[in-house]
Amino acid sequence: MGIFKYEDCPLKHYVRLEGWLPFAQRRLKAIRANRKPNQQRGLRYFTFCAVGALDVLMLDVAGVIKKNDGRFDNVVFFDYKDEQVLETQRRIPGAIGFPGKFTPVVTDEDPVGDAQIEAQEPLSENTGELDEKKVRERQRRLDIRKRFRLRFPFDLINLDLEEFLFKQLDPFPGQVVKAMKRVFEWQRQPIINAKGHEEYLKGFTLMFTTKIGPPAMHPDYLEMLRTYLRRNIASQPSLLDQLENRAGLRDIDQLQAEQFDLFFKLSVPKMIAAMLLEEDWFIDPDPAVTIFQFDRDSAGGPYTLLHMVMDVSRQQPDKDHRAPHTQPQSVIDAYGTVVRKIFEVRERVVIREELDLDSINRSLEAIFARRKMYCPDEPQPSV
Amino acid sequence: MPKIKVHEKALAHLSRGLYRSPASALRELVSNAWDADATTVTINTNYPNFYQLSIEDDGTGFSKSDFEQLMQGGIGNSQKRPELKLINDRPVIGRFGIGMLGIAQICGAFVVTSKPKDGSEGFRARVQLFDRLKEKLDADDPDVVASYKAEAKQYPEEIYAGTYDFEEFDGSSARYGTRILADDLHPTFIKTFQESLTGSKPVPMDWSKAIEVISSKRSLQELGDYWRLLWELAAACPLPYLQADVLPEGLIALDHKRLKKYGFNVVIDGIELAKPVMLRNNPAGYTTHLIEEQRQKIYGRDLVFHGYIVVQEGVQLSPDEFRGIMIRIKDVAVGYYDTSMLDYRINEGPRSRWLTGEIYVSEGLEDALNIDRDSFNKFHPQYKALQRYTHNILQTSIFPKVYKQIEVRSEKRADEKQEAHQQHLKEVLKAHTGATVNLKRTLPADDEPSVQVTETARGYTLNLPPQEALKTRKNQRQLASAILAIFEMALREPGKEKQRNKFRELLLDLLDKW
Repeated sequence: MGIFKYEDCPLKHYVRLEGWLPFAQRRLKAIRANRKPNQQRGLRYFTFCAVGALDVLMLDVAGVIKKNDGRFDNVVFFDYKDEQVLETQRRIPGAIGFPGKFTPVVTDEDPVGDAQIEAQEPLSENTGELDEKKVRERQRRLDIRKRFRLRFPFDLINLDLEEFLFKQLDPFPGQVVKAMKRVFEWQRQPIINAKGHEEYLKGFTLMFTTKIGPPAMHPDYLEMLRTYLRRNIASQPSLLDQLENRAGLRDIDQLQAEQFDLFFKLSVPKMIAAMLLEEDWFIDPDPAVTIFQFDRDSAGGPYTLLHMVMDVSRQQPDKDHRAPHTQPQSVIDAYGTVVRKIFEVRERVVIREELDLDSINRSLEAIFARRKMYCPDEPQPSV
Repeated sequence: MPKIKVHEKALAHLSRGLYRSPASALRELVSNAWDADATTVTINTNYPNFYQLSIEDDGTGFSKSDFEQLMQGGIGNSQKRPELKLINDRPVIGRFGIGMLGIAQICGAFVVTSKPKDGSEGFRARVQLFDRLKEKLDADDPDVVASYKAEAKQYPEEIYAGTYDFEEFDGSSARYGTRILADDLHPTFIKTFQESLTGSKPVPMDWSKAIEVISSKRSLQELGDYWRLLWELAAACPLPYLQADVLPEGLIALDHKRLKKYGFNVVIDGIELAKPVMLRNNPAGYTTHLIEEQRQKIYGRDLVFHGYIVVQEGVQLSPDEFRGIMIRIKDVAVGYYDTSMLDYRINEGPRSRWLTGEIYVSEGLEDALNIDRDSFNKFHPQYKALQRYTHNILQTSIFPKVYKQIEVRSEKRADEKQEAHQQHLKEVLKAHTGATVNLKRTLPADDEPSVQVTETARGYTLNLPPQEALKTRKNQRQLASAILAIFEMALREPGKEKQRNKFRELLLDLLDKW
């Protein structure tokens, strides 16, 4: 049993090993390629790693993450509770932790307006307000947002949310969707190195996890997802054949009503692809979106988790160097290919019985041993 | 006879302004952990963001009822427990009891979690401190000043500093010991610490490397508040040194061994701290003074102390904060290094910037402590006794040795300089004559300070007059002697014109590198 629930779940660890790790290794290779030795830099990683920080430690064991003087200072994470941030930092010393709810912080526009948050000094004493809890809380929240934004861009973004992407009471289009758009926007910021030189990312790797559902999804979200699929089919009629191959039907409404899981699996990656496009990125058509799927039992009933992994590239020329509302042909083509592959390529369903449990356990043991090295008072979980 | 009452508001005021730095407040919590038999204290500042601050120990912990007692009037009560027997023969530091609230200086709320080792009930409680407590106290806000003593309305009976609430506590997954997590840190604290990292390199996780960085700076101010926090904590806590030989002549070897034996570690943001003391490789060496254990009876009370003083000869100590004398009671620092050397009255000029030392007080002096535990009542008899002893050794032993060393160094430097000048003169003459030149210093028969030149098969021998014979200023005698030498050599040239030219050339060459 790990230090938090599902930490040592072999299904999840299979996804880490077979999904996240190879993508991260490839990203690191891309960062290193064509750089002089004195221009090399570490892979910048943002994660919702949870207190166990297994993903970070896996990348550490694999040599993908570079520590500086013993610090994981290329790793940035968010956690809802202050105590969880503390616990995580014990296990990955030097990692940069932000406390708070990710989506409200990222999407916070505050009454003063987004631009002003960026321009002002959130922790200024000259607010004219009294030194009270609510004022301090607001100042802290705005400062977290500002400093978090300054940490962008990342080479690897792991939005391992393990929750529903669309929440019943969330105003349309939903906090997570808004937060993702903001993240993709911030990804366009340059890295500023110690010498003050700017480096714009040519690409990054996105890992996104969500539960399929919820069962009673708000009609606005359903309509949005249906619209994405319809538009794709309208522009690529051959997708209907693909749909028929996979679902045995050709109608989107029917797909939603009768095979909601497949409807979700086709429409959500498509939605992410469209969001990236709007923010001047696009998903690399090779390998497009890799999807892992597994079921999990819980006290609240079983659910299905989808883990999506994709390489993302910046559109060239970028939006500042091309006519408004246009996109490079190469990007349009790539987008078409990605959409086709979303319809065409089936997800990898992870089933316990088919896993090489020995290999997974060996990997977990190596990770737990590494964690104990950083955090000696950590109890060693049994695998 | 009527008794003097102390206004309860005074104590409430103390809860918001007792310590002069975050390190001082943390030092008190570290001392609490020591008294709780902790072996490791882990501090996390959420570096480099500083949105939260936690201090956690693996000590005995305390129970829910202890906490309630503390919250319901126990704060401020002296909780010294001399009968307490700590692990590894640790001395009991003793709490003033306000340590936990000391953190209130930098935050508005904190969460205390404790799981006692004695099997009593653990807990998790959120403590919410009242905002603007001082203003509310002054205004007799009913939230804060809840009731008055019946017989004298002007004296509040109960003063509240905040509220607390027990939260869900999972004893099975909690670690033994106590954790205080300040999650409503004041924006000014956050901002100050964030800004202190601007433009500075990350602090090395290896504390010995960090000490090297610190030692290379004139003042901690150059490194900022975060580095200062680390340094002050390392200096103040009852921790061992990096090694037994960080000071010359084994000055701290026994104390290091004793401190190691206590088995107590403080780790902040992954950095394991040790006393930030290291003096090595000073070219001019060190003057040391070991203070053997001293026992004095002051008004019937024992005062026992020992320590050391070390002077880094000729080189100012760095950082500045390392200068002076630090007093430790039960191994915990009272304030930091005192650059006034307990108000030493003699101006020792730059020499006072070469001196550092620690005095470990194992018995006594606690009554001389001011409430902040950062300073002393300087008129307390025990403090006075310590001061007298220290000043006496400074005046009669240490500084005289330092002056002697300065003299020795000055003589050595003068000899070296003289040797270098002689060598230079020989080289100048050799360059012009192409022959070997020997210099001798003998008194000529007629007692006249002149230079005799003898030409031999191997070159020239110059008999220079003894410097005392040259009636000029002391620091110019060697130059005068050298000029006489080149003058005599120039006179060996045929004709006045050549003599004048040779003298000019020799003189310019001589002065070029004199």
